[in-house]
Parts: sequence; C-alpha cells; structure tokens
Amino acid sequence: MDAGAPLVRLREVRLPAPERGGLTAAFSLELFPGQAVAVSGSARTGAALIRACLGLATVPAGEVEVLGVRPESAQAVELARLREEVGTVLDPHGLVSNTSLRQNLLLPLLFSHRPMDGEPGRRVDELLRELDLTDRADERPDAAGPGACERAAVGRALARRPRLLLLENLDAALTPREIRAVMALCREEIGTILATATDPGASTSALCDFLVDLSAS
Amino acid sequence: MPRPPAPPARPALPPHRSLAVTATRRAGYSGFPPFLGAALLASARFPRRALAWAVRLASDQVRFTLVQAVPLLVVLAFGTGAAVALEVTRFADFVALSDTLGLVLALIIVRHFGPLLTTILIVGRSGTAVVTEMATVQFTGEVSALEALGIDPIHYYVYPRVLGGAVSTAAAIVIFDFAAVAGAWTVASTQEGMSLHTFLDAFLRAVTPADVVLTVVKGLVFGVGMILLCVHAGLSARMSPTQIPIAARRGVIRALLFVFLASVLFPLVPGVE
Repeated sequence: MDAGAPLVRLREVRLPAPERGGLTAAFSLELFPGQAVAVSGSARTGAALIRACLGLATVPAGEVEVLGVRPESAQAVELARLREEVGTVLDPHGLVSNTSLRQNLLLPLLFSHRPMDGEPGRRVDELLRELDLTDRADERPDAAGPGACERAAVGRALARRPRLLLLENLDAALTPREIRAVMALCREEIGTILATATDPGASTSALCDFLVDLSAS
Repeated sequence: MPRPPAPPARPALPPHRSLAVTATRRAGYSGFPPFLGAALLASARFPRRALAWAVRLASDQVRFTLVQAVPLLVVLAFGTGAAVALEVTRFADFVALSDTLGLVLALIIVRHFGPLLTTILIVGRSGTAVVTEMATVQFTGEVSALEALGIDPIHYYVYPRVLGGAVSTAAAIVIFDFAAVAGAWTVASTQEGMSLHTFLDAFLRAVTPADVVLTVVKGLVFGVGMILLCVHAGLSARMSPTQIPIAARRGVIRALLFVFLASVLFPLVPGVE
C-alpha cells in the first residue's frame, strides 16, 4: 500500500437507517493519513459502518476498503492482520468483565502477532495516565463506571499504536469534556480517525476535520 | 508522516433510500463441526506472548471446576463406593468377599461409573457456568470487541477453558476413584471386619496399570468434549438475554449426551479394555 494512499475508501456505500425504514444515502469517502472524519447517523448506521470496516458485517450496498483490504471478501488470516492494524472502540465498549481496566489494556498487546516496541506494562501505564485512569486501573469494568470504561476502551484501541482508529459513538458514554481530551489524545497518538456519532452536533463530530451527515439524508 | 491540512468546509451528502439488511459475519460459530475446525486451525496462530495469560485463565478454570467441587465430589464418591460395597457384602460369600469387592470396584467404579458420574457432576456445576458465561459475553459485546481488535475469541475464551476443563475432569475422576474406594473399605471394615491390607491387596490385584491410564485418558477426552460443546453453545447464542437460558440448556444436554455416548463407545475402541 502506498504511503499517500487513503487508509479507508468507501464507494457508493449505503448503510441501514432503521429510523427511516430503509437505507441512508449512498456516499463515498477517502480517508487519508492524518485526517479525522465523523459520520453522523443513527446508532445502527454507525455500528454498521464501523463493523463493515472490520469485516464483522457487510454493507447493504457499496464497497468498503480499509488499509488496502476489502474486509467483505478477505480471508480469515488477512482479516485478523487488518484488525491488528486498526484500533477500534465499539458501542457498547465490550471490555472483558472479569479482568481489571489495566489488564483490558494489556490484552491487545499480548494477544497480538505484531512486533512490540517497548515493554507492554510501560505502554499501558502511559495510556492509563493520559486517560486519567491510574487510580481506577485495578478496578473491574462493572465497578469503574461508564465514562471510565469508555476511556479504557479508547486506551485498549490505542495500545498497539494502530495506523487507523475507528471510534463508534463515543458521545454515548463520555461527557463533552472527556471527548475533547480523548480525541486530542487520539489525534496526537494516531491522527487518522473514522468516528461515528448519533448527533451531527456532537462533540466527536466537532473535533473531526470532516462531517458526513447521514441523519439528514 | 506530515499531517495534511484540515479542509475548512464540511461536505454534505444528497438523500437516498432503499431496503436491505446488514448481514453479520460470524463464521465458525454456526455449527459445531465448523467451530471445531476453527478451534483446531486457530492453534497455529496462538500468540506466544499470551501463553502466560492463557495458563492463568486455565488455572482459574481448574479452581472453579476442580478445587471448589472437591467437597461435593468426595461426598458423592464416598457414598457411591459405600453403596456398591453394601450390595457386594450382602450377596458375596465371605470367603470370596475381598476378591469380589476388588473386582466390582475395578470394573464398576474405576472403569465406568467413576468417569461417568464425575463428568456428569462437572457438566452440572461447571458446564452450566461456562455456557452461561459465554452466552453472556456474547450478549454484552465482549466477543465482538475482541474480534474487532484482532483477538481470536477461540484463543481467549476457548483454549484456557478447554485446558482447565480437561485437566480438572481427569483429576476429578482420580479423586472420585480414591474417595469411592475409601467408602467401600469403610463399609467392608465396619460390616465385615475386613482389614485394610486385605482390601487393598484384592483391589490392587483387580486394577491394572491400563485402568489408571484409561481413567486419565477418559477424563481428558470427556473434559475436552464437554467444555467444547458448552463453549460452542454459549458463543453461538444470539444477542438477546432470553437466549442465555436456551443456550445453557442446549449446551448441557449436548454435553451429557456426549458423555453418555463416549462412555458407551470407549470400551469398543480396539485395545482399550
């Protein structure tokens, strides 16, 4: 893949829009390194987009290409490699419930085939500090509260220093202040972000370079 | 790489409408054979760095499946051994009592009822726990989140539980056999005054080294099969809380059927008995 090539390429993609009983408008998008794009629509619309980028679902219409891979037709091993190159926060966050927040951040570093730069514990401590989670690091997700869990999910997505971040509906669990801090960290660490939000005026959308508003279409 | 400047305008998009459904791709969990195939293939890609973590999870499984079950297991086994000994002392000639009791214990307890009863107990205690846990993590989105990060749920959820379940089942069967033999001797000594030496002599003459090996092998096979069926039933549950008890029932019934079927088929394997 060329260094200047888009990391995400969507062509004539249409996503489910259950609030209208159908699909969204067809839209195309190219996300280049260093850019942040927000896509606003219903929660299901955002979920469909993020999951299609990872090969967890297929879009009803159009083509999706991520890091030069078409997830829809990719083989399992290729898909696994793609997912290791991408950091993802889903909604709900899906933190592993029987381990602490710290261990949740360690998971992607240990269950990975990518070469690690540095010691995993140090990287996790650094992220916990950046996300203001140091005091809650040993708490389990059910004790930590939704905001802390969402921040931990962002930390888990950042842990491997992925090439691309996919953020699904951060506004659901974080306050505007928390979103500002989290997005600043994401932009500083990774830079290239595809985020979804249920409200085009949500904080996540406001902190991205582009907004694709599917809620009005 | 230098970051390109952010464009000032925000593009809007034209409206559109149609009908379609987003299909999920959950290959491997649809049926048990594909799941088993995926579980076998995934072993080639297990990340070495995660080995210590997986062993820790497996040891947790041993704690839940074996350590916490020991009191119940011992009571059940002691009672079973005592009941068998009571029947034998009622019908056997006193002269041949020790030999008969030794033979019956070796044939009934060590070879058949030990593995069968122990595994049924483990299915009831831990099989239900595993299948409901797997259905719950599926429902809460943990499995999707791990998949999204490129972490194979088979590596994280299946291997540690299968390893812990197999080790626990094999060890539980051995514990069951010891406790059952203790129960039988307690009855033989109190009812018939049989000495421990006579009892053990007769029992050890009836039990062969192959019985011991077979007990462990049966435990490993039963444990692997039972846990795989329970994990599969849980992970293949649909994303709804009402599916959790349905998955639990399905997993437990399949695991019990497997254990009974394997118990029947095991002696038919050439060279086993």
